[in-house]
Amino acid sequence: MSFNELKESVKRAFPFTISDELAHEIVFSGSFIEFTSCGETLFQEGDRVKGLYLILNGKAAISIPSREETFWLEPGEMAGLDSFVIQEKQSFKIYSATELLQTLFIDRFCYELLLEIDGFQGFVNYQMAKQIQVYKKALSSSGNLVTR
Amino acid sequence: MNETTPPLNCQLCQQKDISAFHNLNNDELDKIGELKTCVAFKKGQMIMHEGARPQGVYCIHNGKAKLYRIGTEGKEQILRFITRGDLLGYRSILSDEPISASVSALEDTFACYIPKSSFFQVIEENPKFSLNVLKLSCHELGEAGKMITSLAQKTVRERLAEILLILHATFGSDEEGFLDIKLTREEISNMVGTATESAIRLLSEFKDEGLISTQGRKIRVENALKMKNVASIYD
Repeated sequence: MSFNELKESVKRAFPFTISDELAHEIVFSGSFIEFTSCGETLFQEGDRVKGLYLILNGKAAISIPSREETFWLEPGEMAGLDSFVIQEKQSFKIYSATELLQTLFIDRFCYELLLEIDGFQGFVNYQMAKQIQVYKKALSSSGNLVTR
Repeated sequence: MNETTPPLNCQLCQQKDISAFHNLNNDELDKIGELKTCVAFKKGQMIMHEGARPQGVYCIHNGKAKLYRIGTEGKEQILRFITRGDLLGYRSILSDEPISASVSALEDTFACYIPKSSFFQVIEENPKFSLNVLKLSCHELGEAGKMITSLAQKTVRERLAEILLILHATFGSDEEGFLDIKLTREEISNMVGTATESAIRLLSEFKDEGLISTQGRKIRVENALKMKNVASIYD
């Protein structure tokens, strides 16, 4: 994928409109990784999370051994975000769940540079809120959390 | 075809003879040509990140890049420079581990990307290529050993002299005799493993001693033999 095609993919993947500058910097700072079969590992349980994957196309899945249901990560979402932010080892395995999964890997150094650009912090906040929502849903479906 | 971009046909590639693919026959090269894609990286753009799991290897066609790790205090340690014919990401794929160092382009760089499945296919079907990859891996291990010894036992002055000789051997010189790579003083110090101020001071000493001459960022090695002595290289 060319640089400009990647930029367009980033813009499409984002849940809201982002500036050309932010899209440019994300592509420039990230390394493009394309997974071409289901089941390829993004993170193993226990991995030191040195960066996160921004999903551009396709789906990744979070595997939680004690639970039967699978949690999906879709375009615009970030795999490994929570472990990355709190600097802990990866709690669950994350793997590609579609034949084609296109991602951009962003490490801490690049992540910190991106935080200086307008719009990126808002995007991270949005992602975190979304993840909390997923976990809340998971807890409520297991009967551990009562939701109104 | 632009001469800086890789040809789709690997048989026509100018870097074929210096890459890990050097003793593959035309049919084998054609097979790789069918499986690869050509990728361009802008100056400063990230090619690979430490901690990621690559899904293929890059064979550098043109351009220069640096392989580095970020230390605990956020300081960059350049491990080596990447140039045409170099293969990136293969050790991580073979060991099924995340990448151990990051790579970013020092100038506009063109590479061929070979997906993991295709890379394994060539390895399985071609013992000559497997042996080349093994040799490459052993060579890099040897170089890493040398670097560890150098960092642990040599003085900063010796290391700087050694790095300048390595840069000369890796990138050669331009028509004016300057090293054919433009590095900031910070990047040089990141390779030596010292503070930028120390590297600047030592470069100035080298200049006074007639070992090098400079023009802006450019450096010319004036006396390689004397430089070898300074670097304590005796082979």
